[in-house]
Amino acid sequence: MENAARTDQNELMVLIQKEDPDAVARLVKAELPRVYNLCLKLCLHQSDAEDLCQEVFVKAFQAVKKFKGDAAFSTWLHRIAINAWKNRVRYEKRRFFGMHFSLQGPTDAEENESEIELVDKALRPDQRIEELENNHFIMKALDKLNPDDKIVILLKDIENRSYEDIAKTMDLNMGTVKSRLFRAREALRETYRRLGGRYP
Amino acid sequence: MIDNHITDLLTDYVDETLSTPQREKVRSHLIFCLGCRRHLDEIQHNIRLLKAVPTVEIPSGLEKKILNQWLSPASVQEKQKPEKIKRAEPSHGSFHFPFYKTLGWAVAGVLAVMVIRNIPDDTLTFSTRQQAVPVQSRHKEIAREPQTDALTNLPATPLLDQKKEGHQGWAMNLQSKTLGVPPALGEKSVQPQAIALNSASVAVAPRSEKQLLLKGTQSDKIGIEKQEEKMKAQPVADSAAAEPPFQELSGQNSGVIEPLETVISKQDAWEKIWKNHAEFQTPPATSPRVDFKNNQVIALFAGVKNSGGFAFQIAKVEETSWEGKPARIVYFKLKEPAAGSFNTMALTHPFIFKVVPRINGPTFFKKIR
Repeated sequence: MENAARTDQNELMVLIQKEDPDAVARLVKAELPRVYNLCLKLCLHQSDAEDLCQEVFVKAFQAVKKFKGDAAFSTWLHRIAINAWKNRVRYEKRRFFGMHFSLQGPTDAEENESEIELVDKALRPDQRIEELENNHFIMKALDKLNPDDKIVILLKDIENRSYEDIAKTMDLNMGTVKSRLFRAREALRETYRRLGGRYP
Repeated sequence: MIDNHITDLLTDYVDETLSTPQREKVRSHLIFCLGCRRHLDEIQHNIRLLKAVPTVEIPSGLEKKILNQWLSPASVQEKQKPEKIKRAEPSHGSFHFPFYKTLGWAVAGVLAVMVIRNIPDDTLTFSTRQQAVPVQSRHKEIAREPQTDALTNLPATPLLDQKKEGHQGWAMNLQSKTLGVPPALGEKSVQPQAIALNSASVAVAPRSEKQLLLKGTQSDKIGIEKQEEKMKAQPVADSAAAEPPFQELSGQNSGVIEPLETVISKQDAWEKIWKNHAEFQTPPATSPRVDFKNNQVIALFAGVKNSGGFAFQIAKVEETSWEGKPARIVYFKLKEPAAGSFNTMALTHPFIFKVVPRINGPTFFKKIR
């Protein structure tokens, strides 16, 4: 099954390398939801996620001829997304050097922008409120982790990727992925508690 | 392992990547070790929460944007350089300064304070939009003017005679358009007060005395009279104007000093809550008119806060349903003063009232951050 999918994907990649617009459209349609969701969970800002998502596809199209097909295309795209996001985080750190200060706190626009509602809309109002609360703390805690820890948790616990896949995406060996996941989960536990999240 | 605990194996245990003997070892340890059991529960709780984070739909137009970028080679070439991160323009009250710029401002501020502190106490200068007049000649002109004020018919305060008092350099001509005004004779210690003359010039007068040291032109005086008349007429005009429909009211000094989130649906309840709310006001304001046939009022009170800078904001009022009935979710924020910000040091009681369409069902309140 997986091999058949891989063959289809390789054929698609050949067409994309030949710059076939239909193939590009098919690929974007197939991969965009996953890439966008990954970007959204990395950035936690809708507009930033959209920018990052566009950047990922632009970079992918530029480098598509270098894609050898040794990993799944989605893994390759995720790798681009993660590297692009890490670059942004590094750029932000260097640019602002911790000098973001405000006399009146964040503006309303900034506050509203930072709120993404990761809640299932089919739930009852009380369940939605509870879930919103839980999601708020866990996503905030996740956002406070260092970028590598955040990525490994995102891929493992939200995206349900295998260790092997994570190792390929992050360009690490399996042992490192495991130890990083352990460290990241411990850090998440501490941060979640520190931010006011409650355990049952 | 840490102190005979098996925390380092718990992640692998959760992911089921342990060998069978190791797994059995962990299981048997968990039976006796409460600490490791709690630790495991917490890891599993977090994983459960993370797995429950739903997948979000793609914003409309994003797919099209990406395809357009692919189809137009120019835009792809433009994108070859990594895009600079776009940030929202710093809005009113918020600054995003790079480090060195901030440092520069801080140094400039310190220098400005040092310069101001070096100016003698009896010297005050103000910028005016009047014609540039050399300080010395202007001083003489003032000294020659009649000693009675045409506006108030009061004898004007005698002006300081530079020669008589022996003051040297009472004005600092900092700019070409800077006019120095001497303090009134015998009023050296009086704190000066600025009086606007037709919004074009500024004079200094002793506090609480209706005297003008710097005589304005006749049009200046007429301007002041008009302004005074306007100010007197203002409250009358305000009260005469038709009262706009009450929609939202928020502030920091409510008489309700306990935290409260409520929905008001009846006039008597509204009067009662308003009476409590306006308790600190003298005279207490009358309650705004609300049409309770078609509307309800959402009222939120934050209780006592130990400084200013807190403010309620209703972000969204969502109509929904609850057990077959219409319901409403009110998403609100209590904006808190940012760390290091300047705020009033006083006890405050933030509140907000908002008129919303009436529904016959429950209202849920959700505080968001």
